[in-house]
Amino acid sequence: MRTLLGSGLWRDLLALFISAVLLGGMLAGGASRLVEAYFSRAVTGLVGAPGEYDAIVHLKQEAGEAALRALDERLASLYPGYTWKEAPTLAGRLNVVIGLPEAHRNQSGLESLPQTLGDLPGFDGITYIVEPAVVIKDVHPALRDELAAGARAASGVAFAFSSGSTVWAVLRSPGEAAAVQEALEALVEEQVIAEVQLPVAVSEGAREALLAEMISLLEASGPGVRAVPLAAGEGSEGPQAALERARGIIAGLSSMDLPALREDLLRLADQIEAAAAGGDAAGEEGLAYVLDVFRRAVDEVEALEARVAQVAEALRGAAAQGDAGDILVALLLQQLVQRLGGGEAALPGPAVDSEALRAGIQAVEEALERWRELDLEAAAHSLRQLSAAVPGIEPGQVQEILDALDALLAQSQEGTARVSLLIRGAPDPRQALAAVQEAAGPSARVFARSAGVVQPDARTAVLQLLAGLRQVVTILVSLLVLALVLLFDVAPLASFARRLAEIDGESPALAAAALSLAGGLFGAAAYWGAVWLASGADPLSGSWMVPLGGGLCGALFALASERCAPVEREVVHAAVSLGVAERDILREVVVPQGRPGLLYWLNRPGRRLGRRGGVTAVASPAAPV
Amino acid sequence: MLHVRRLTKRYGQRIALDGIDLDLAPGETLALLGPSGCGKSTLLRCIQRLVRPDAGDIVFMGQSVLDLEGEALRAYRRKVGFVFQHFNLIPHLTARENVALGPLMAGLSREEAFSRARDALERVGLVHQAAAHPAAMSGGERQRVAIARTLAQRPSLILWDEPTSALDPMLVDEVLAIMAGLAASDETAMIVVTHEIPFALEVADRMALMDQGKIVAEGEPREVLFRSEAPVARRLRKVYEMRYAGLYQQVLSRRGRNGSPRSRSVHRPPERPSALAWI
Repeated sequence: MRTLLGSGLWRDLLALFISAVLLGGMLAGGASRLVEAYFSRAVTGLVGAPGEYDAIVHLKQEAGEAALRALDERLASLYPGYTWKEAPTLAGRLNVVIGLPEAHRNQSGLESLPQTLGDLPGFDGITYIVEPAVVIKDVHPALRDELAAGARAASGVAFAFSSGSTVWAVLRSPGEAAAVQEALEALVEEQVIAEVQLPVAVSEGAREALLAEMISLLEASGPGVRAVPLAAGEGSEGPQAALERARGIIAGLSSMDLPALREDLLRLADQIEAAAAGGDAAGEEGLAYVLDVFRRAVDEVEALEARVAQVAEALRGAAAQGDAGDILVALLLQQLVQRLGGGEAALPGPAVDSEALRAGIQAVEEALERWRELDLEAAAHSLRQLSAAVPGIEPGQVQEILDALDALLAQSQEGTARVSLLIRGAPDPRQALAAVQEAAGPSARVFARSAGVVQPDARTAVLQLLAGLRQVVTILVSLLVLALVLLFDVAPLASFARRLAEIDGESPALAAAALSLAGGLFGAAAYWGAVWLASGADPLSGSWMVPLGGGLCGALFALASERCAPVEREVVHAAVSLGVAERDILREVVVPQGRPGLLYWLNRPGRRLGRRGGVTAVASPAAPV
Repeated sequence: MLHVRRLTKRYGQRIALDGIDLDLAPGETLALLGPSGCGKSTLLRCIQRLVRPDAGDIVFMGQSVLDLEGEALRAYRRKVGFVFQHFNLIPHLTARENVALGPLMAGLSREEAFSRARDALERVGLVHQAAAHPAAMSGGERQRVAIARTLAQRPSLILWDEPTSALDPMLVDEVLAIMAGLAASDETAMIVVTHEIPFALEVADRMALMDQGKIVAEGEPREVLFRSEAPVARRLRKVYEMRYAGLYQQVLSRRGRNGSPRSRSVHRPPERPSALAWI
């Protein structure tokens, strides 16, 4: 070892170290950037450029093309100028990314989307992806409107809207994100919700008294502290609310005469089946005969109209010329026309609207055609199925269910074991909770809940995830490069060092320890350097695992050098016996015989022997003779 | 030239060398024989500083070898060549590059180093294989390249660690011939660890027998082999009689080296009883 280190080998080690760091850094940096670019493009391809789209509409896949058409029509009618793009289907849901026109890209436009699209076939919800935005998630229902108002008031916010338990603060520009996030976090942190779980249910009066005591203690704990109670079921999906909704639905059932409905459906099905079976040929033929007669009658009327017009023209002509005989005939004819027309008709016009009649006949004929196309048997079958599906609940049974629900509701209103309190302005939330605990007693359990969680918008959250992914890729690729360098270069070096230690008569155990230490230092430094170079950041900040991992790898490879990259003792002895210096042995004998690692390529230009041969097939010195 | 004093080496509880004393004159050829595991190879490796002894001293040309470090140690190693049992050629280098490795790394120019390599390969009869890699050679050829590699260093002392043990019997002779030629030239001192008893008898100036880390007999080869009472000598005699009985007569009748004060009269009848009497 001493002879090895004193032979100028440090230059080779330094070159190896620098090469390993550069190679690892470049490969890891390149790979991580490629991965980040790929996924960023994928995100953009999925949900468009930043700010291009505002929401993802989810439709049930079984609704198919009809749902998409209906959505398209609805959006086109309500939001002219909207943009949309179909996204991949996922978990049985069609996903359509939509962007609202500027005129509708506001609080009311975005908040009304669920109601506007809710009745579309297959509609299955909306996910907002408005950008740039800061989002407050898990907002307590009692605070939603207040937080939304606070978000609107924040500087840099264009508008704010809420959806479920989320408040969106849409920004004027992406640059406002940090400041708005900070402001909203401060807004959220001002408020703490304390939920108290009492050991037993208490009556309304006891609850009021307890709340009053809690509020009194809290407001006495600090000058700016304010507390307000939250109703027991406020904003919560407790069992009482569910029972009340169920009662309303079941009560609606009692107003329906379900047995009569079933009978009506069956009767209609019979009629349709009879019509389908009989074909109603007689009826159809009779109707066709009537229509034919009527058509002929309309022809006759038209002919009569023409005649009347001619007579009228003739009468007008005769009256204009003044011939007595003609005048008399004209008068007689006029009298006839009057009798026919039923009253005064100086200039008879058409008595009936034959065009309308023809249109009516045509309509009847078309209806007759559609009637012939109906699958009457299928219609009758569907009606029978509907009849069977009608619940067989007698009115008396419905009333029994309602009575039971009323009893349950009465019980739940007798007392509550939970009270909630909204605390504002407490400088120390823990102190506030302690005051609540004091009022509630030692057997009560007090939980703190935040008013909401402030997060960046979806794309920013994904990009933050991508940054993490990039770091993982950096670490993995750097580790791979380090492992290869350790296997191809450091392990043979360590084995060569062992050979020299044997010749020098050094203790094998000490030699192994020294090599492990050297390998560990090399691995730690090379890994740290590569990760630093690839990530452009100081990997020591919170990443002590990097040098530790590199050190362990380096020590392991140095220790296991005899297994993974042994250097033949015989060739080293031969070279040593020739009086060749250790560094020359490494360059001319050891490195060219091993795997082509970094040292192989670094030493290649300076090698004086074996250039044409390079690394050739190794022949065992003990080959058959 | 070389003086080894009370050299000791242990591997755990096992004593490999137990106070070895040995001297070697310039140009002298010493054959070192003994059973496997008696410490022969360890002794050579200690001399070459491939193994560090636990006690004792090695003095080469008046300088203690055990204290040498750095360039001084490398310079000593260049003067003391080593031929390994399993050749130990560098696989990815050609024969010429293997031979030129030492001189080139010692600071000679490329032309000079390869010139030496060519000369050395010529000396071992392998110039035509200069561009071949070890994998394309036979065992005998590889060992000859290893010898050439050592010769290229122009050492004062060559240590041979069973150079023919890993060879096919048909290839042994070509290597022994080179060794015999080198021994006869008197330019280089040699310590040869071998099991080739006829070779030792024929070529070596002195023979030393080792057993359990000690030198148990040393002297003129025939004296050591045929007259020593050491148990290892007896065992070697038996081996020799069984394998080489016919050769014995040839050895007895062969001419020694001309002009050498250590030469033997090839026609001088042996003074000892017939070898067969020892069976």
